[in-house]
Amino acid sequence: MKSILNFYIFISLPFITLMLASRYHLIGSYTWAIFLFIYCLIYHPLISGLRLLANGIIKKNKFWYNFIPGWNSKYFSFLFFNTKGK
Amino acid sequence: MKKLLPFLSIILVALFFISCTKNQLVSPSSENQNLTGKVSPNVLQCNEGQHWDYYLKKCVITCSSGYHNDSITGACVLDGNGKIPVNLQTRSVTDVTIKNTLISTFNNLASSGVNLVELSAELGLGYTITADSIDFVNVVMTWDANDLGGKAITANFKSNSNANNIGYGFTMFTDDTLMGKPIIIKTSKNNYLKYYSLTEGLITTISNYASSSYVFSSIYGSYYPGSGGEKSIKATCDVATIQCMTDLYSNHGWVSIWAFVQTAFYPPTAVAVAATCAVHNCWL
Repeated sequence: MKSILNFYIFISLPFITLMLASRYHLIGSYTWAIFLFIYCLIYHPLISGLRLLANGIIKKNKFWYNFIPGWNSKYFSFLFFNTKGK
Repeated sequence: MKKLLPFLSIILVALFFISCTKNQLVSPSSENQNLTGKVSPNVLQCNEGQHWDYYLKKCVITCSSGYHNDSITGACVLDGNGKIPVNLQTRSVTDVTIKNTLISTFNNLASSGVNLVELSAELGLGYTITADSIDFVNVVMTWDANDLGGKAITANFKSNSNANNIGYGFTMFTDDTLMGKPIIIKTSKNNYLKYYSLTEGLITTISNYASSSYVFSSIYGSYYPGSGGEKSIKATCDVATIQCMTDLYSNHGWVSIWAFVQTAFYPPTAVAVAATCAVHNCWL
């Protein structure tokens, strides 16, 4: 997860898959909503945390902080643009 | 610039995704275009009240004054604020199959556990509904010309009269392929529409339908796929909230693209969207 490209792939693909599945009625609204929340509240923070951890931005004991909505937004620049500035 | 590349990539992917999915939208009317015209090369001959949109490459409704076609969906939108007002259209149903479906559905209500005595009392009728109470001969179809998402097939109650402002209709919704579960609509002319589930009583009331600026958004989400491919009406808070979210992420052009991109970058967006939809559908 060190590479930003991998990060984008891991972040984007499940979300695009979810949106396409919803658009083409492959999943119902409930399933869509459940997966959206799993994505937003568990998957996205997990991937973000792994990237921050792999790059030494945060320590292991702070990994779970990522699951607090909005906490890792202070690392937004690094997560999405690879820059260390806030 | 190199660092911006992933950011630009995800926007491009999002744009591509939304534009592709929008192209797959097929309105019921555009499926039945007359392709036998003698114009060469072949062009779609649009139905009455529609015209060909060269940008959308499909037939779109010719909007009345004060409205224009949305550049993405082709639907008529009010000049200025983008809301789609209701443009109700009605016609008689001559299709015997549809009428027979209504009749057989009504006749099967008793075996489906519907208590017609209780339902009649809740509707405020002075009698118990039977098949003879409903006019299955003069069936009408109603739809919103600005939103071709579904149509209502209604058999009015024989007790309805022009002298009485209160009317009742036995209604089933259809998307031209499937018929939904039946409901009863109680109307008070220019006042309200009340939707009754046959088993759960009053579901929802729409009080501003006669307003020229009325939009169907208040019942978005109440029309949802049920088990076995059927569709039913149930305006429960949770279902309406979820449908509102789906709607926001799918059917609002640039706003949907923005919601999509922002959620990928900032997941709490989805929570905010859910909260907004919940407030809109559950408390307001």
